[in-house]
Amino acid sequence: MNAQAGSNDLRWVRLHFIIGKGVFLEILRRKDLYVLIILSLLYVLGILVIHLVGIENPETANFLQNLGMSLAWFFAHILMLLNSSRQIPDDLENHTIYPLLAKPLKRSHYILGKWEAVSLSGVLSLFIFLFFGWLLAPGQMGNSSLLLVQTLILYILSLALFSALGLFLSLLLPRSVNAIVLGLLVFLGGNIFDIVKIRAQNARCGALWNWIICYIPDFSLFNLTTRYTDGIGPLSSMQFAGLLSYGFIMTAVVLYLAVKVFERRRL
Amino acid sequence: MNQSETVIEVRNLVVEYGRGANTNQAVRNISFQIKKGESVGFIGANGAGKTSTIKVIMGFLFPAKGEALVFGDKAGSVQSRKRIGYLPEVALYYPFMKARELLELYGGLHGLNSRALKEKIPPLLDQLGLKDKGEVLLKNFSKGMQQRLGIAQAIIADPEALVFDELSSGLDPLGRYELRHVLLDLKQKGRTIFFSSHELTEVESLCDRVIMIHEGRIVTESPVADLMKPLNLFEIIFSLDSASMPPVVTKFNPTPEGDGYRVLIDDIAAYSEALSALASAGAVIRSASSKSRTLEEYFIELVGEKGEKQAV
Repeated sequence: MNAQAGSNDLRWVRLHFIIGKGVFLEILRRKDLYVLIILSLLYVLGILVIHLVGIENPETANFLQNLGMSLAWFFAHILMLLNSSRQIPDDLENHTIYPLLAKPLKRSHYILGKWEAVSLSGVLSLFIFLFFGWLLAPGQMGNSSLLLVQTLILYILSLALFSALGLFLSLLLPRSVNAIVLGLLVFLGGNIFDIVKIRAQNARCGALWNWIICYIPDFSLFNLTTRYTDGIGPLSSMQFAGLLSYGFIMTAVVLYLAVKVFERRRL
Repeated sequence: MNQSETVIEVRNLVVEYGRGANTNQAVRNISFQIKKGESVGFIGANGAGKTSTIKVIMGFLFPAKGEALVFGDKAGSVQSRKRIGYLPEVALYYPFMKARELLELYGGLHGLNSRALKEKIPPLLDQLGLKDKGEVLLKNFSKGMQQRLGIAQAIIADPEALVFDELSSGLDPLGRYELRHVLLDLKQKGRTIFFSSHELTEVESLCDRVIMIHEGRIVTESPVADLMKPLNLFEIIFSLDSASMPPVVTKFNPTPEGDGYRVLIDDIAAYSEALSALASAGAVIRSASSKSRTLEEYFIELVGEKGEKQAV
């Protein structure tokens, strides 16, 4: 009985891997990744020129490092936005969802397989972009290694949540609207939330706005780039654990909702 | 599994689209069974409810009422899909994949390991006329090639039952011919086949039984042989002066055909009598043949009758 249960567990791992392999092939054979790598290389070219000219003050070095890491964050999320928002709509539009779900595969495993692959591809591309944006940028010896580790972990968590959100919203919204909503959330979310919070203080239904905002993922919390490049110390254990919990819970909730919506969907 | 095991069972199925006042019933309380080893054609005009029924059987749509069972399990369950292969009506397979990679994907999901896939894919591609196309990107595949690949993905794991929605959609005559051979081979191996098709000649040649559906309701369900039996017609084309036409011929309303006449007779005794009378009257018999109506003609006749009754 246990052996059978074990083999069933392994079977799901294999199914996720097979679904994921398809996603990876798509990413590798489409142009998006290469366009972003070329853009990263343009940044590297700029850095090399600056290296030749020479960096005169630490602020410039900080700025360049911040720019490099921010570009890596930006490009990785752009790639995720493109990949997560098109996976399910493409399968539905091209009818490839039918032969997939005609196989002994639960709808939940389809969603989870896509999510794992999109997230993993995002993490791998993040490290490619970071190689250009961070490793080659002029470094600051005094920056905290612990904070760097915290920054990278939160980057990864942000990508995982972002891909879950992209897949979930692609079940509810048209593709273009989904892309706009995701873009606003990840790149301007923090600013929008700040504005809403300030306005909400004086508004009649301010409490309601604050309540709504609590349930919308705030990706700015996962971006510690400026904190790192400005040489501020690492987050306390409690702060970091809080952010991790926030990221994990949000990701789990969004994935759960995506699975439930998809399971009830008529195809 | 015994020979009489029910592979697909549809009970009082109702499928609806839309909500409230805009509800449209695509399938209206239909029931049927497909037994093991049977080859059953599902015939109907566009919008008759074929695809909706098949989608319920595969678990893509949920019935408003009734249910569908596959091998005794609820339609759409993982257990039921382990034993079934499915070809959708139209699918544009991943353009960034190669044919081999696509079959690895679908075969892998069906539980085949990489060794089995390596053994199965080349002969399967060969069988479906896609030899040497395994390493070609699917963006370079024509519609017909995509359909062949679709059939390959459906049968790669050698499932016990096959459900094909619009079987020969997009295939040229050669493709249809090859596909017919593949299906006859599967039929001989005892596989259960259930398919919808617009190509009624294909249904005639492949099926043991047909289910005809019109406007969401089953209009007839019968073995092909039984459907064809009462349809025999006899045709005589002859030349004769109209004044000399024997009464046994005129009662069947001959119609002008070239220089002569054509008459259709639905009874073998009357046919024999008419031939003798024409010969006695000195007619030149140009042709005399047994003419069976095709399934297509029968279907159009049947659907026409239903339509007229509904209009009344």
